[in-house]
Amino acid sequence: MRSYKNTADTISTVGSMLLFLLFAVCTMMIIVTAAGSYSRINDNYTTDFTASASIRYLSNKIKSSEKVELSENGMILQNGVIANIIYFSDGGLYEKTVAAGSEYELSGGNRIFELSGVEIKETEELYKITVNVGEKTSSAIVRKGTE
Amino acid sequence: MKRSTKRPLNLFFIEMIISLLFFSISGAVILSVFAGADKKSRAGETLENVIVFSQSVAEVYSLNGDYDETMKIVTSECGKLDDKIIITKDEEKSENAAGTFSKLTLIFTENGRRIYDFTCAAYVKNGGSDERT
Repeated sequence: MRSYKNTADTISTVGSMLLFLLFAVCTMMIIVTAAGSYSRINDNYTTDFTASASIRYLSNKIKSSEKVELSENGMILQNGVIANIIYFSDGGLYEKTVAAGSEYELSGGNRIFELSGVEIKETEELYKITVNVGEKTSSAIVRKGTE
Repeated sequence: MKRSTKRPLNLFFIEMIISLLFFSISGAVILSVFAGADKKSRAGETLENVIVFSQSVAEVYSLNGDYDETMKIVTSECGKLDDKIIITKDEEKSENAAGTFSKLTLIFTENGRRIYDFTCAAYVKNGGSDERT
């Protein structure tokens, strides 16, 4: 009788510990899965947002400018007596406003987006904007304005 | 007497079964929620790509007013969309003495589900010059 009770107690104790272990393992698995899933979703969202927002930003800047001049690291957008210089440097897209026709340096601008690279090409009637954010490359075409 | 000695063990097994059931259900619910969130994230990415693609199509189409030429330029410059995405077009053209007015509607579907549609237009003057629309 006593032996049976001891065995039952042992099984109950070991079983409780196993149950707790199972709970801990399940909780850990769910936390790890949740962290991975959240991280992936967050990275994708940040990448997509940065890529599309930077393309739209550049498109709108080009469309709203009277004169667009492409340079090695970006472009110069002229509106009357003001020129906006948008350039890529040090892993980011920067913008700087200067007086049109004045001397300028590609430093001291406002950082707008964190990017891996920007390329703006010009054809006869179009501009092609290519933006690299991490491993993602996104391209868009913008029609030239009537200068 | 015999009945009372068996009771703790039976209670323990019932407790264990209920706990396992609870963990299983919780795990299944949580994993399905994560899968749903991941699916929505991918759908958002696809939609973002489609919108940027559409923007390029609208820009090029406003220049030439020709769907085939537009798609040729856009796919060569910006790349193709995912193969799962099917584009259905509806193009209308009306000509007059001065030029041709074209209206293009594109419907993007993925696995039979309509994800985005947009309309753009172009007016191309006779002789090749055009006006922004």
